[in-house]
Amino acid sequence: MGAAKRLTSTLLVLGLLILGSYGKASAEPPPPPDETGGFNPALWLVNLYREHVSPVDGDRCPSLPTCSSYSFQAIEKHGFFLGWMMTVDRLLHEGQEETKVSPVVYSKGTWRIFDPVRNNDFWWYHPVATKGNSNERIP
Amino acid sequence: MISGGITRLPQKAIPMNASHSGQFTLKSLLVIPVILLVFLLLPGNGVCAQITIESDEQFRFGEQTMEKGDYLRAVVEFERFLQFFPEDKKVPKARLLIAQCYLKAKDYESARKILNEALTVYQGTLVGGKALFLMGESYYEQGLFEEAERYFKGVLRAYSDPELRNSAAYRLAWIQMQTGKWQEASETFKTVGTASPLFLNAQDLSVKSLGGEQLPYKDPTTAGAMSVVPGLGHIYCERYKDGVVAFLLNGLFIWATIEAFHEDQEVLGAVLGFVELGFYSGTIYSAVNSAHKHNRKLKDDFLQGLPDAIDLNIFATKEGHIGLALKFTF
Repeated sequence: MGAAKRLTSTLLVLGLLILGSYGKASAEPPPPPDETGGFNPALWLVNLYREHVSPVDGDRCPSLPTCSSYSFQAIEKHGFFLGWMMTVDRLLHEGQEETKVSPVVYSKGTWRIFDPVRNNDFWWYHPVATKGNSNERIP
Repeated sequence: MISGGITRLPQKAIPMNASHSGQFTLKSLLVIPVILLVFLLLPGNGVCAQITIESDEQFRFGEQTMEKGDYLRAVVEFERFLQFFPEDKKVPKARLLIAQCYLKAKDYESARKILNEALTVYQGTLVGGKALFLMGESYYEQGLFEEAERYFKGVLRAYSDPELRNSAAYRLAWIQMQTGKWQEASETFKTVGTASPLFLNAQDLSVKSLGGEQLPYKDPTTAGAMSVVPGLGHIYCERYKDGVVAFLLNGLFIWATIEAFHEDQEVLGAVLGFVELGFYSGTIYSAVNSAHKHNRKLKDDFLQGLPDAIDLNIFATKEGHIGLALKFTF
């Protein structure tokens, strides 16, 4: 009986977390925030960190964009689950070893590893090219 | 007495008679516009200089502006040329140069808009072929190799001009190298004709391109599979510190989750488990990503060591048959 109760509560919490963290997962770029009309808890959390924790904690991220900006962009671009996975990937690889495969650029008075979202989804995310106009002649 | 730039008569010179005063005012009012009219009708060289621009001068000015690297201003100059000399024989060339200026300014959409118009007007002609080639080049520059490939293949299908075909084949081979098709690239380089200025370079690349197969790539699938044990995939990709961090982070979260359940803290366990689920899948993603980045770096370094004989970034019209928009380097 105790085990069943434990399982039920665990599944309930997991379900709530998954539902609560659901974001728009789409290959298309998301519309501007004011047009979505929805509330994305994941983005809200990242924003909370950026607005209240990061200013106190200081700018210590060696990458560009910073990890919180990267996380925001990744979640916005690919939805919560992929965005989260990409954020974890970024947190793991933001060290010196990344400089072997990513360029280093000068920004805000210091050298940073240039590692935008497209640097980490290039092998699976291929957006459709924007045409010159809708009647572009295809050979 | 002068006021506001108009000379006024002294007060005493004005007749006191009312009727005379009225006549004088009327005459003054009539004389002033007549004098102004005379000035306006005088030959222009008395007032301002007149400039006559010939089509060659205007075109050359556009080219010079382009050579200086002021591409968007060069667009304006070539557009001025098209506006004033719409019947000139250099109009097709000007259109392509406008597109090329946009390409150099990295405004690919504007370039493609101009090229698409040129394709419609000059379809089947050499200019149309060059427009098609530049269309492919615009995608190639953007790194959109699939789209670029379609256009270069289109040139090979629809045009018979040998140098245009050679250039398209040459660029197609580069795309095949960019996408890791080393054998195909080698074969395509061999199709460049012996009479082409690209021939020697293409022959050289047909051999060197095969070296791309021998690079020490990392297999992304292996990296992902090894990440079942967090960190091993990173170590496989020669990212040792990342591997250790991944192992410790995942280990801590798994341990904390187990402990939470062990201590009957189901809610905490579920939260920790949820976070760990993300970390675990993120670790696998990270290992696969690391392998892809490692391979990309290897390939890019290898390609950078190979000479690209089609240089769209240096403006030249004198070298090569297709010199309208390209320069061959040897």
